[in-house]
Amino acid sequence: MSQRKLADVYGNEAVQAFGRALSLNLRTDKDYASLADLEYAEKPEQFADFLKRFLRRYEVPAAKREREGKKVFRPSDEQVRQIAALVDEVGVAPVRAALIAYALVWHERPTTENKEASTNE
Amino acid sequence: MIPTQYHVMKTGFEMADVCRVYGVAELLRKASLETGGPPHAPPRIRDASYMWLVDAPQVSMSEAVAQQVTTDITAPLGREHAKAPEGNSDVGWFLAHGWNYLYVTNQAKDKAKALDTLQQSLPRALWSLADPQKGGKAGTLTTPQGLETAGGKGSRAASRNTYGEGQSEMPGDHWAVAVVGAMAVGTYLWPKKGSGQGNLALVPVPADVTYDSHLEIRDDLRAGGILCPVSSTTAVAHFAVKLARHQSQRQADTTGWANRYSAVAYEAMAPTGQRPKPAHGGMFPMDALNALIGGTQESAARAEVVLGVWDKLLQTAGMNKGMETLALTLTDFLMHPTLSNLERHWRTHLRFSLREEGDKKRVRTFYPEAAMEGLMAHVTT
Repeated sequence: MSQRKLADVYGNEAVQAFGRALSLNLRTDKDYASLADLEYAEKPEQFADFLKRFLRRYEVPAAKREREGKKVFRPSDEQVRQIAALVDEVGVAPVRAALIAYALVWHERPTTENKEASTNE
Repeated sequence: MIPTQYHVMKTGFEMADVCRVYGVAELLRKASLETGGPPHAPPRIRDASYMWLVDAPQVSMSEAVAQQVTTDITAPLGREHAKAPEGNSDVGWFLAHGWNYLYVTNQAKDKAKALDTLQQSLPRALWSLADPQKGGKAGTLTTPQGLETAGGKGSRAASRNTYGEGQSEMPGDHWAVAVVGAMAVGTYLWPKKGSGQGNLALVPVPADVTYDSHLEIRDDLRAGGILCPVSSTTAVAHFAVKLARHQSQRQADTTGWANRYSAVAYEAMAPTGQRPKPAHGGMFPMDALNALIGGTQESAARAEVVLGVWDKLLQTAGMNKGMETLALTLTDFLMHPTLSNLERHWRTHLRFSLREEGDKKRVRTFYPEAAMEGLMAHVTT
């Protein structure tokens, strides 16, 4: 296992993207099931399972917001690949800790998902 | 004034040792003030592994100075245990509070006898600091349980035939100096009757400390509010966080240097139907907190924010029934700073933050981004 600092893992672009998505789903859509899946992931295959379920659960409210004309944030394919590669490099525990930490950080208020006016006009 | 260096050897009775080194500093400071000593040369205490070094200006001792210092220290000690005064300016109250704690397991007549002994021993101890030739010989005295719970219960005799648990004894001068140090700098917690909680003694262990600046921190800690009462260990952890917070504030505000403490010595007693009995004790490590504070003003400023979050979390957990896991997981991390313990604490914090709006147990304390990154920079994956 790598002896990198947790700050390096936290600063990874893919971790930031998934952290943001998880934080949004937890606070806005009360997706506690994804939190439980993340907490129980110990091996890479279990983490892959968490990613799959989380992205599926994330899509439902995201699609609804999109239908309402709001801008929606989604982690990209590249970010999914990056986070999987990071898990292979440093293990599940640091990535899991960094994602949970993201939800405990005071961020600037979201400017896209909830606040943007409809773009249909 | 010629600077002098005192060597305070460690004996292994951790709480008594650390009280003794503070006692040396307190007596030197008081004697220096009585003799009009230099106001800007306070004693400095440094840990040299098997002993402490105390650097201070040489003291010009006289009978008058010895008696005045003794009177200043012992005059308030007859006070009964009373409610804490507003603020922390009543030095006499704190001396009496510490004295009552040291002799919490003794009867009134034993305490009165100990006070007589202290009044006789202190002048001798002061003379020995000024001039070892003039100190004179002191006998041995029983170590009070409030000063050192391990010493208070004694140790087994060498031979099985004579096993007993008679109390340990210490040289008279050591006892007097340790008692002065304990009264001057200790923090003592008395539980409410019937609460089931035990007594707790807390003393920061100096690594590199200027005594006057330690007294400022002591005063801030005394005014700092209730320590997390979930358990004695969470109270110790909360004290350590507050101590680190004061360190980091001073380091951030000044030239990047502040007192350094290696641990917080603590001893807990358990309540019984009669006198409190020794429960547990040890040294709560400050390594992780000191690493977080770092050596610069910038690192100290970032650390102060994280420590403020932890202070708030421990305070909140202590005030609300049902939030004990928040305090216990944070304490666990501070005692054993591993990634898994940190993650366990973060999970608990996150779950409390997701409670419904209006729930008293909902946590609204979060980390600013820069502070979280500063914390993570010290955590190895």
